[in-house]
Amino acid sequence: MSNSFSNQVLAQLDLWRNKDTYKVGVYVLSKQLDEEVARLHLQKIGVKLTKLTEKQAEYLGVPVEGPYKSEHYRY
Amino acid sequence: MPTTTRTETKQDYKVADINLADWGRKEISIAEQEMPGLMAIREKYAPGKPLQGARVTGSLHMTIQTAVLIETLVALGADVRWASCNIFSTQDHAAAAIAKAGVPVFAWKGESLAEYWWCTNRAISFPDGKGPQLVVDDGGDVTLLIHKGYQLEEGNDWAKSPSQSKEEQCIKDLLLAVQGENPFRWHELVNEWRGVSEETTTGVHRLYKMQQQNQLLVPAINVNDSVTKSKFDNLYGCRHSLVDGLNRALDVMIGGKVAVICGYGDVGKGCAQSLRGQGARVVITEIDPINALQAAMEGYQVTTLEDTLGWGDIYVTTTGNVDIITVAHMERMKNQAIVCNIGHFDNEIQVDPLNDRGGHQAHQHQAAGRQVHVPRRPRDFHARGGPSRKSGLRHRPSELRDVEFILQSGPRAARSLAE
Repeated sequence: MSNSFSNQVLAQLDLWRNKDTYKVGVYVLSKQLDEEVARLHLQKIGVKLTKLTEKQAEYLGVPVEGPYKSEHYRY
Repeated sequence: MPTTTRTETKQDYKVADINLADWGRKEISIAEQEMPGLMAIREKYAPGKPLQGARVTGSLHMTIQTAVLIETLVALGADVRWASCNIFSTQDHAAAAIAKAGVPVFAWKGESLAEYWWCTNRAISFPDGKGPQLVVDDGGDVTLLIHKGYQLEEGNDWAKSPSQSKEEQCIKDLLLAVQGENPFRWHELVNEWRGVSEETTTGVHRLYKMQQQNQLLVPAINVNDSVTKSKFDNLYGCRHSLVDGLNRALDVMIGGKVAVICGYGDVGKGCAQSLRGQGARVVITEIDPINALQAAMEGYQVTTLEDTLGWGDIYVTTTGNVDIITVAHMERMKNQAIVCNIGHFDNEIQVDPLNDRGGHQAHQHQAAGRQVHVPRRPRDFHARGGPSRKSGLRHRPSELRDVEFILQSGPRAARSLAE
């Protein structure tokens, strides 16, 4: 539930911070935040993440720090 | 003449037993270690109190894990009130710990439907007649209540129309009672309502439907479709919790049994893995050709529910749809078949019609929300042949859904069902 609830808190923060500009509608959180939620859990379970080199990032056309996938990527 | 002063400190919470608070607190501190995402957010944001001044209502299973969520929102400065989003999912020690910490919480395991909606209404009733500015919803019940109330004040007569279910009537009774007290209650509330974040597939489905019909009143964030939600809690959470729920409630051998999973979405995939891991022979039912092909490529037999009647031992609904398992289906199942729902609402199985039908001996089990790491004999559930009981099973560490059981028990049951 840590994943779910981290998303919940980030959503609440987002709604509150932008309460004067948000229009009525249904939204999803950004991919940056999604990756951030995952990242927050890696250390706890002993995951070592590989880092892209500048060359690799350029080759793929993504920033070194992410987000790494296009919006239509399905995981 | 002496003046008698009645000092009533009206307690602003309702839980089963406040004395369970210390036990709850211990388990919350264990859960904090298991929820690194929330704790990192707390560390990062708590000093700036970014939710200072925000009134937040949560309607989400009042469990130990949820307690960590609540205390994160409080640490960020929010003024929080809480209810559960299922009548059986509250862990009473979690609710007690939260109440003792000073957060108004209205939740206990085994609420009636009327009590459930009373709790929901209390959770949105802040002091001085205020409502929430933000809502954390799971299944969309708070969002539904506010929208229906708002529509009633706009002249919509839904609340006065005949109800399709007992629960629907409870909502209407509440709305009419609120209207009697304050005919502008919902408009006042909506005036300050700034948004909702929705936890689950079913609630998200409701939100998109409201948006399509131009009825949505506030911005809504679909948390369910964060990849880190649906591809994790829905899949691995259910993989973890299904077997646990079955064992707590029934403790029957799963290996060798034929398990029929209705639906092969994220939840269905987790359930299929869960039961296959126990040695069950897993059969999938699907309406979507892509998901059906996925299931087949994974090695599961895919067929219709009707084809499995008479040889399926365990049925699990995961669809988010209604009437997946009907009374007519249950009449044709083998003796002692186990039927359970892991979806958000219990209308995936025709529970009310089964009970209303009478003459059957379907036992429904309510399992106590024990903690996994406490090794106890799973004998703390009660079999009931009477009114519908659902079990809301919650535990650490990752995720759990409410699982509902119906067990046709004994040859007499099979006969009376068939009669």
